[in-house]
Amino acid sequence: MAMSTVSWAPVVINPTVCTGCNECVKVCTNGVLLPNPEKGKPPIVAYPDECNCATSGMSLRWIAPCAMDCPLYQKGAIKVYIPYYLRQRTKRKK
Amino acid sequence: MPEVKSTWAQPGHWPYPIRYKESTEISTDVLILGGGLAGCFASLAVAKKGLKVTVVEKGHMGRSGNAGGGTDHWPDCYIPGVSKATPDQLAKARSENHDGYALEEHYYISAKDGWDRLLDLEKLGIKIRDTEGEYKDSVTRDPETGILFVYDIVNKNHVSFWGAGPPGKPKGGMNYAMRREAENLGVKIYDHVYATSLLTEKGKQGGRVVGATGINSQTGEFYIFKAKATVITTGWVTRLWFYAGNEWSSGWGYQGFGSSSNVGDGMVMVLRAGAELMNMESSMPSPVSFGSCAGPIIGVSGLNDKKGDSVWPATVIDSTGKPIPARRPHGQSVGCIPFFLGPGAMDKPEGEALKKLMKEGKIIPPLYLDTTCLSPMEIKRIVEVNLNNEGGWIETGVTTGKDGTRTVDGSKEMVEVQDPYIPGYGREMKWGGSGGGISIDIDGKTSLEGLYAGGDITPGSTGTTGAGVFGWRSGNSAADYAAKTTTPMIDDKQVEAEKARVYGPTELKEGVTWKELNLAIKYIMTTYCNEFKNEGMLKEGLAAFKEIRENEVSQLYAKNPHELMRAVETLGLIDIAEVILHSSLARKASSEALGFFRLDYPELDPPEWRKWVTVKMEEGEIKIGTEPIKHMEEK
Repeated sequence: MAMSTVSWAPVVINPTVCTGCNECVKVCTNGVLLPNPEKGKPPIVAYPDECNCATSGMSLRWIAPCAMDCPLYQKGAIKVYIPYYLRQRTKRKK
Repeated sequence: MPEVKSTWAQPGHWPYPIRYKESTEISTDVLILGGGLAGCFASLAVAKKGLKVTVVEKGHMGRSGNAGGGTDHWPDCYIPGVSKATPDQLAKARSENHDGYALEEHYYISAKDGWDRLLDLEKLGIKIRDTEGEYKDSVTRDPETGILFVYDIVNKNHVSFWGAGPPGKPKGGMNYAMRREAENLGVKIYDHVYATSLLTEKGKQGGRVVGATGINSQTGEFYIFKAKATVITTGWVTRLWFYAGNEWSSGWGYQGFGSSSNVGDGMVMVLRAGAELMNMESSMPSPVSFGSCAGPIIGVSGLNDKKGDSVWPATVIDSTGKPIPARRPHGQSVGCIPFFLGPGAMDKPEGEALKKLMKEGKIIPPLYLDTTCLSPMEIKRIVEVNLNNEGGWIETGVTTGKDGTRTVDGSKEMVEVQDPYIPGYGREMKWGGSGGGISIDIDGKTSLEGLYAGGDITPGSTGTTGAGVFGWRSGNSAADYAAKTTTPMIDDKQVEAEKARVYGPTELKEGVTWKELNLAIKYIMTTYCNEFKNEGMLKEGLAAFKEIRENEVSQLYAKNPHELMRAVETLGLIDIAEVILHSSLARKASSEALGFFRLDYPELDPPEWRKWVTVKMEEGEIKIGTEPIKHMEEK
């Protein structure tokens, strides 16, 4: 799943992997996600701009429960996308 | 890329049944408001005494709060037989770091009990020492015990540990472990319920606290919690000032540091109930940041903030490779050695001094954190212990990764330090001893009967160690009180009045959104209560709040239970903002340590103002007082 372009959804759920268990909805501390009215479908990213975890670079908060507690995280069901301005710049030591 | 459909948040599409104003009454021995680090410890302390416990948590207990995802450090605690600095030395050192504006007794207790709380976590399966000798040769490791240390590896008072649990394992970490234990002990947990008010005996401000009210952020239903004792652990305040960059208006997000759901709900409830708050005037956007907006992904923190620190034992260099003669790594450490920021760190130029070096051309930015000199084992330790537990559990956000996330290779790459160039980016409750909040004694008791508090909501018990220790202590005190008291009566009129207040925003079909109101609050605070202030500005701030109370507040509307939660939070922010303005008016002096500057009273720390400003409500009016700063006697 390409993640290289700027998205305005900080939490990106892959509908082909997600089984709609709604664990992420349960643990999100900011109510960003809502369960899909259609059973088994991925949750809705209803309040993207209230996603504290992505917008603090996941770093200042060191937490992204939706991804941490997703049973299918390793299979790519969910991804927390950090916007460029919150990412870290690095430089190779000469 | 799934498209975000805003229609899902419309009432017709709301996925939960909406039950506005429908009440459920719950009776308990001890009620805990807030299920973060302090609340988790409080719930266990009460449950272990065999009392009925109910936890009310706005998000999800085990994940909420500033430590919900875990932590990598447990600072300022004394480990018998290992640590060099004693609890009283630690308390005195922290106090010195805050120029004496400190709660030394609280720091002492925190240092004394801190290790016991870590041992509690160890019993719950949290790894607190390197038993396998994986980092055997690390300079941060105590060879006898295998405990790893940060900040100050000589005195061994700041433990580095695995608070987030093993990577890749769902429901891991210290708070989740405590949640499971709480559930095993029969603690009743209400997730996604936010408390809105404390109930007092006969509904009187200043009376004994007998419970609280709450609303479910998914269904909008109302709860009445009846309790013999109440513990409040709802964290500090955010969303009061503008920050650089991360505002809704710019499209992304809302806060820099900490959970944006921590908006001082508890402080508002406590204020309305008539308990005392203190030092609220030192809540303000700090002119320097605790962490840069991107830097702390790997734990680099404000070079020019004396309360900041770097968890990487590395050197900060400028663009020419010259090491920065940095400040003492962690101000409150005792006899810190210049380890973390490299040679010359004891020179500690803070803030202005660093800027001066830049202006003189002696330091040429950008600055970098250079870890390339470290051994592969030390870099591995940093990644596995520090980063995986606090900093970026899954991936680190970096600009050059294919999808924006990958692990930084500390053996070849240097991380840019951004803090020194970001003006006005700060945090709203100051770190350690100089933040404002609820006044508590060393047992976590507030000024109201039946009400206890701990964690970031109180000054003197902040940070992981403080939250653990005072969460536990406040729980214990509440349990002792509850055990010898009777089930209280709830005042129905008080409940009805609160119901009318909190559901106000659901009565309107259109109007002002919480975001608009919150931006108004940020605008007022940024304009009239910023780094520099005077009487005229502060009074204008109060006048501006009067205006928005008359207009915007009465038009505030919420179209679903989620928005109602935000609206109620935002109403509370106005109360806190006004308290900060009142407290700021009361302090007629400036103070470096408090980060408090009055243009009309420029003298720094005159002796007569070395005291606390306190604030509470009596018969609906704000009452300002002062209290002497108590210094600890030699132990």
